[in-house]
Amino acid sequence: MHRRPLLIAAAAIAAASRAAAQEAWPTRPTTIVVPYVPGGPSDILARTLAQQLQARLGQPFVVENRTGANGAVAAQYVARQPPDGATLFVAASGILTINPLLIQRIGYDALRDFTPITIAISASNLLVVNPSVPANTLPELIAWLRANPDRASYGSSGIGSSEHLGMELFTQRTGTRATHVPYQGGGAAVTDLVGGTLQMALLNMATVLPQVQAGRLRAIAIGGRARHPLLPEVPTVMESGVADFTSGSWHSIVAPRGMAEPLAARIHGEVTAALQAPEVAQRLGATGFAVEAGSRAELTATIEAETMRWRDVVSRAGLAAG
Amino acid sequence: MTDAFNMLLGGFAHVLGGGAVWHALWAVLIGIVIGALPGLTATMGVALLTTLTFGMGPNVAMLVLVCVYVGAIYGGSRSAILLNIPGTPASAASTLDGFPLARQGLAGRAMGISTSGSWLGTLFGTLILALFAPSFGEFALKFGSYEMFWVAMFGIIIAGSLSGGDPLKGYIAGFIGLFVATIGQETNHAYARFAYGNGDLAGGLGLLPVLVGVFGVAEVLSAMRGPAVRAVSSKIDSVIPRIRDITQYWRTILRSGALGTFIGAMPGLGEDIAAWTSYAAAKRASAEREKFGKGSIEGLMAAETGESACVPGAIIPVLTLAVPGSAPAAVLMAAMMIHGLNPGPMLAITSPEFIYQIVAMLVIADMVKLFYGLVLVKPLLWILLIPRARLMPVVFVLCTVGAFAITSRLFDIWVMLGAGLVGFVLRELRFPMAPLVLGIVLGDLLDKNLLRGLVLSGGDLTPFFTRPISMGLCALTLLAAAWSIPGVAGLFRRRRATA
Repeated sequence: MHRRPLLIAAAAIAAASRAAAQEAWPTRPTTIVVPYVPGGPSDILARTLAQQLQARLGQPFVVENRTGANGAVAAQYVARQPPDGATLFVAASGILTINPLLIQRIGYDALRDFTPITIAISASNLLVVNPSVPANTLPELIAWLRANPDRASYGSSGIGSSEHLGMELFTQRTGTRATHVPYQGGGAAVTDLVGGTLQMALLNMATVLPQVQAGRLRAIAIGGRARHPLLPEVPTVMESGVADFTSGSWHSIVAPRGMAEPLAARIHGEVTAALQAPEVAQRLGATGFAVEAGSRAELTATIEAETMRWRDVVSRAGLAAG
Repeated sequence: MTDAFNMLLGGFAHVLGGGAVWHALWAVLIGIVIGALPGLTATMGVALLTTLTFGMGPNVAMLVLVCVYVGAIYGGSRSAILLNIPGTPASAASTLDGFPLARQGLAGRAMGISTSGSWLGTLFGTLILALFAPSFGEFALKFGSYEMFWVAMFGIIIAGSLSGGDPLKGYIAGFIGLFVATIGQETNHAYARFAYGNGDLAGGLGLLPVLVGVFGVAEVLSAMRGPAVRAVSSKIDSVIPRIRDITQYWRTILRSGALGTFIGAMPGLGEDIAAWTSYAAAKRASAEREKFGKGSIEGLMAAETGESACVPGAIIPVLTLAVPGSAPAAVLMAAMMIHGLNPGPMLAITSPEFIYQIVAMLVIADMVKLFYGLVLVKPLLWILLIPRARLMPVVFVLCTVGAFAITSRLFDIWVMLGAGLVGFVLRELRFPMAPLVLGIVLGDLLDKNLLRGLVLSGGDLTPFFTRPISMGLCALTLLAAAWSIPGVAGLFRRRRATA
């Protein structure tokens, strides 16, 4: 994900506030549905937004954690709600782009069943290796992987995570091979990565940054479009010679399908304005995510593009739906 | 040493002030209530409170969350002792002796034992955290999938000693637990096992619904079947923890404290495993083994000390490695990040004083817990005065809400009811519940780490035996297994006697 220039954001807000003048917010309390347990980035995003929106609009916002089936339970629930603005959904990138490819009969369609509002936050994945791997740069790592086929294992936070598919994309693009070892959450993978059981991983930056700073893991490249301010010396994967490669995750806000255009515009305006508040950026930044607050069309385009890209990766890797 | 002491004093000075005691008082109480309600876990408590702390300074926020964590783990035992329903998975082991004590009219004493055990456990763990955090964290890092497999295996072997009565029934219950743990998608390829095309079953059976069913629903059914038991809370019963209970079982307290802290520091293990392991170890070492499961003070003390020592233990790797030692510690770590405190290997260099501030917070939380332990016993005893015919419907509703609360799935209520029925029948047939629950808890750990280890080694079994720690754990497991064969221990003792 890349940050849009401030100008576009400002224009979006201006447009939204015009819409705001016309469209009243629903009088019922708004429920923000979170597909995962409390404490994770989705939950923190929802609660931060709820606090901001409640202050802005002076009416109650309730956060509801509906977990299960990798977010499908929440997605199906939201898809059935009326599009009256009383229900919003924090949809992670995996729920909208990856899971429908991996799970048959998932019970929702990412583009058909939701009204896109905005990509709220995003984070890049960082490609790291255990210091025992004799590679300091991406070309060196690729050469080492080619010289040692099937010797390397990489960890991820789970099957079908952006970290798993990102590495699949990486091995496919570079013609290398490595064994995938899924963990339950990136933190568990870090233990084996630092301990040397795993050789490498493409993990959420916030998860591995403390280890990189302490020299227990070596950062090879970052999966974003641009370098990260906290690791300015680490190049992007694309800079290092792998074409058209990004890897990361994002969380978006969507509403049930069929929402009237003026109401969707009003919600977009309020949500993006809430996201732009300095304390929001600071709080979400601490979890390793950067505030995006892009346009509605941008979210639709991202879902379409990423679904297409992951469909290709999933079918090549033989990760057929089950 | 003086440096560390000065930093510790500095930690207290930093934390105390700005209404710290007031914050600790309400946060521990909320923790105890969350812990005591079946279905609301310590993890959920810390997570829900995290969002409340957004507006607070990092210091107060951390104090509040540490207090909720400490309070919730302690609070879970209230319902375990009074109602035979563990408030959190961590308190399941406390039902084994806590509830029999309550039935004998010693509920107040049981809560007193629980309070002193829990208080000393957290204190012990905090001491280890203050003294050895870096080296402890470093050691935890050496436990990869291969080692974790043996930790689980060892746990399962020593669980055989938990059966009480017929060991065969214990093993059968244990295997049922292991089987339940394998239901659902396995971790490596998301292959659905025993799901029969059912999406809900593919998601696996949740620990909490099963736990609430096996303990709570089964208890309700037993109460319905049995003749009305008269409340026995009127018996002479001291509510103040007895010094004698502590002095008599100091070895158990030290052992459980060490085990609990160690298990806390291992990523992937949590308070439930800490309690079970401490309980099993206490039973093995005890001179009054026959009392376990029938209201043993030592057993309850071990479980309580173990689970509460696990809390500071689980915070050790958060501070030193940025790797959480348990599920609530993972949420606590996220909260630290939100508040701009950066836990991890750099902490010892950038802000070593923070470790001592956490120590101070843990000590404050522990003291407030002791306060409530003394004050809350009498009001809690009123629960026992409610006729069971009125109490059990309320318990049943709480069980249902608890099973539903975590994932809001109707399926979990069915799981709870099914587990309740199975638990009831097994109980009537005198099958012990402890191995069943332990099988579910450890089975998951065993299964994941075995499969992951095999993927890592490309199907090769040798790393399970050749890595140094693996080798040691394997030897320990084999020894424990050999020791459980009735003849072996006797043979060894006889030889020693003749030598």
